[in-house]
Amino acid sequence: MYPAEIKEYHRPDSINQVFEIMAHHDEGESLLLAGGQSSMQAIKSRMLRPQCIIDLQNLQELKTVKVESGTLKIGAMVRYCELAKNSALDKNFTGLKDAATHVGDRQVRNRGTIGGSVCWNYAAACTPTAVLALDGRMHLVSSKGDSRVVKADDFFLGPLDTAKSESDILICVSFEQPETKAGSAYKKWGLVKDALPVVGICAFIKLDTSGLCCEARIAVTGMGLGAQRATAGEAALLSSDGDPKSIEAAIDGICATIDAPTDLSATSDYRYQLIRNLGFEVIQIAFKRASI
Amino acid sequence: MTSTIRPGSVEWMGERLARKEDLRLVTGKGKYLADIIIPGALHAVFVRSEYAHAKILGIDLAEAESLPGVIAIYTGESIKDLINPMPQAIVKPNLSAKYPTFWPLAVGKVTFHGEPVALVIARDKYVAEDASELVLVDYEELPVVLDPEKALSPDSLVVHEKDGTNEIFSMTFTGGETEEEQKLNEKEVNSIFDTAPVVVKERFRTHRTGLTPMEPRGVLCDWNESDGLTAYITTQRPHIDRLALSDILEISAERVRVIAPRDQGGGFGVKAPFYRENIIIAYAAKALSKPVRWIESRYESLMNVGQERDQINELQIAADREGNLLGLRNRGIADNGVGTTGVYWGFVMPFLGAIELPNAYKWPKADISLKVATTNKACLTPSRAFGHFPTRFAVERCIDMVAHKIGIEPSDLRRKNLVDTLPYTSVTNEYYDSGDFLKVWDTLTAKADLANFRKTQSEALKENRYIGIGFGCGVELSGVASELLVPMENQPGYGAATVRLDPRGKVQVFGGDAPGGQGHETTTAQVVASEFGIDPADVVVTTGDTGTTPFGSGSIGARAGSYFVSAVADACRELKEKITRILAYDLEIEARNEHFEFIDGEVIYIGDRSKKSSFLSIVERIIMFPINLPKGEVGGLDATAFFEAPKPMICFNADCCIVEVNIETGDFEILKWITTEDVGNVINPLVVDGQMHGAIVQGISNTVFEEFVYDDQGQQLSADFENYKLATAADVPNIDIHYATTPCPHTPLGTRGIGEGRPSSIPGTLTNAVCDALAPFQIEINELPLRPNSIWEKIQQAKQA
Repeated sequence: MYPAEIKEYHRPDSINQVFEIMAHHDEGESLLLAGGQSSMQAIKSRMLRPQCIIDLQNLQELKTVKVESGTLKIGAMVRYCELAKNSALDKNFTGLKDAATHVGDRQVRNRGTIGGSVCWNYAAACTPTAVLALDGRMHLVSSKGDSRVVKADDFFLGPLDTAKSESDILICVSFEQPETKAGSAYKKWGLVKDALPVVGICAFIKLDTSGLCCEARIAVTGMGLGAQRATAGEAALLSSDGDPKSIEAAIDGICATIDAPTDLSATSDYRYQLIRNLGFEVIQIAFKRASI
Repeated sequence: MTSTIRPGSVEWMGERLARKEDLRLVTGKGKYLADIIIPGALHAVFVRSEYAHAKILGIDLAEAESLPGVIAIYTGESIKDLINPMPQAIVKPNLSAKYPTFWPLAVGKVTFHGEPVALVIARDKYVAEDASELVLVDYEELPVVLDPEKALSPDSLVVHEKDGTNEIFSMTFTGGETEEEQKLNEKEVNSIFDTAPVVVKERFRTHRTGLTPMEPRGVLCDWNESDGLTAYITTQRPHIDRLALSDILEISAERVRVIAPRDQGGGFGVKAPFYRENIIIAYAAKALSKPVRWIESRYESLMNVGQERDQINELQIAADREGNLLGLRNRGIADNGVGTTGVYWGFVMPFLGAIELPNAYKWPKADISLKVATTNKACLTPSRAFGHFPTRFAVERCIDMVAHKIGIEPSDLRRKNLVDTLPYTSVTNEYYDSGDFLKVWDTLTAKADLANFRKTQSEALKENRYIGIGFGCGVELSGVASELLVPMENQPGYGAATVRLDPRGKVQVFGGDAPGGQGHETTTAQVVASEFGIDPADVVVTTGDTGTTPFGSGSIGARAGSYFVSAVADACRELKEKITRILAYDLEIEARNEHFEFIDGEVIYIGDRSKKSSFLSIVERIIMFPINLPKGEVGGLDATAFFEAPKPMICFNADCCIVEVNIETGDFEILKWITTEDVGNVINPLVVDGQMHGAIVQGISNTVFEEFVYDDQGQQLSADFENYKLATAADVPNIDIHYATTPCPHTPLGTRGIGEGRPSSIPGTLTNAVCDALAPFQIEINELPLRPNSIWEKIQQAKQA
């Protein structure tokens, strides 16, 4: 397991420097390294064969978490371990915190980043699922200087596929602070504790002033398709106060829209059972967190 | 010259001394195979088969060979007339079997996904890997043999055509040598089963799993005309590897030196076989007159080694209504894989598994037989709990089922049938030398407090919580006696050690075994320190180098605590005899060895404690100033001792665990794990605790998480740690350890070995607990792995029924 020839390695200090280096290479030749917890494995197994690695770990401008006029902005190079303890995520975005707390193992959480995870978009991954449920926005800048903001719904296209082009760099992931009470939660099940999710579910619940659900977003992973929305489940929660019956209806909705596969990790039936079990818990917690 | 004696007398035996080797190991200063650098070494990469079974129509090397930096590429065709094929006598057991003939690289066809097909040697690892991608192998796929039962049917396709059958090995283990005796035994066992009031008959399937040492395999070979071959190999048995390399490559033995690095990242049996990769790397170093090294990738490792446990056991137990066991019958079938691994060939593990089937129970009669099938999978590799992880699972589960049928506590049934008088010879003719099984058992059950647990359990059930308790136990080999090792592996079982005192009062110990992290440096130093009354810091231990150590069969079968330290103690005692003979002469007293005490750095005459010498002075005097010696004495203090107990030896352990099952998901949590152990006299409890922790964790991980998976074309789907799942600290319980020891009467220190077997009692113990928790659903589980998914399915089925 030795990588194919890597001709260049750079560790730039600014985004402009990143683009300068990218300009010297054809599209697809250079690879942005944002923690490397998945991509280094892919490079060693020669699934990826970059000519040039641009290591982003010195980009201080991508390492901040800040709230700007009601928007939470998480720099692309913020590591899981930092997300897991950042109080800016408390209250509305605890679902992302839940996810970051249990990504991979301790070593992975100390190196891996939110930007790396959303851009890699592995078939079964915690962070993209939470970002999708929390309606995250990906802020991209291209080497040509264009910047654009892509909603999670449009960003995650499928396993290992996103709306980010080869010439883009992800600057940050942002989340709009809801104007009313909101809460979120994420849970996963894997055979071992530190595992990729066999099933992972994130729920985001927004309550109106009378305490009833006015917006619900549910995302599921582990079905072989990467993070996916379960909109039929969301509808069942609207106008409810999180009573068990509505949650059951939401889960029926999720199960009706999700196509759970059978693979080495679990049978299809068992995946549905896990969706029911975790889904109930996650939605209940999200309601509870929203009501505080 | 001052010694580093700690103040006050210290009894080093039994001291919880921090391991001498750990500082370097945990600070990244260990020196593993990949850390050994020989300037100018070339790097080797294997091209491995993409198919489970295919003809090799041709191999196009043109493009690979033209890559700058490529030195040589070997294929099966290019080496088959230059290298002797296996098997050679040194790597062949004394067991009648259909041994496949094979070369280091596949010749004519490939027989499993991952088999070495070509070897690329280049100036560095990157070029070697680049070139390996350019080797174009033209395959013609053949149908695959994957199911061991189907493989044994007469109309099955045969993996190794020359044999005309896939049955590589079969044996009947009970009832005598001749067919007549066996028939008679079978008849007697039949009549027991025909009349027994209680009979349980079940089929137990254990999956393919095993051990994954942290450091994969590696070989670094150096050749020069004056010294011959020096081979650094990640191995548990350097002396056997040396003889095998000599015989196969026809290099005179005195010109072959094998060195197992002092630091090896685990072995667990995986580094015990003689592997085909060793041969071709050594051959290449000689042919090219250049050092050549190969470091196995994790991917290669998971595809080639560490796969064991793959068995079906059709087990039957007969009992009376009081719970006395009357008879045992087993028809075992093992999935051997291709069988192309020296020393073990796959089937040696299920062979021992069948012998160890009776475990610690008194069986009046048994009828046990085994058939082993060749398939298109990687060859079974020895893995701690060698062969008997599956058979113990079957017996321990089946005993619970018998107890359920009779309506008594499984733990009571076990106690009733435990061997209570030792020595004892099992129904499979295995000799249990000593110990007190009931003491170990009663220590466990006292800690488990079953009566109280049953109350808690029924209370919990009222709250819809399902908790359960499971028991199991294991008789394990404490070293492998020649009596067993000669027939099983064609190798001796004795332990060997050289103890060398130096004029500065320090001690060097040399052992021919090759540990992989078990703590030999510490335990050996404690034994020596205890014998000579010095500090363990003054003792260094060298292992694994055939150029400096006495012959030993290797770090296998719990040999350290049983055979190796016994040889060390014997060698120390031989030196003490000499020291005291000369000291008595110098002190002008009539005294023998037993009149002296070695303590606190001094050798003291017990009759008059003013008559003494420092250990340092007498040692220096004998080595450096050998004048005025008693008649017939010469100077020097160096002794080699060989230890072999008159009969095989064992140790015994028992386990209990408590689990809670979530019946919504089938998930379970281990709430408690209690274990008791008779390891004889304990040299270092820290080290022994570590052996138990490791074994129990491996057992849990094998039972629940790990599984080598092949698809219906024989493609391996589990060649990385994303798919081959290992337990981490977060997945395993705290382990509550209690010692219930009986000194072994056959070793000089009363010690027993502990490294080998324990994971075998884990799958039964854990599955029994899960089944006990699910008793309201009357669920009995006969298959591993034990996964929430399958438990949930069983609960669903039970609910429907």
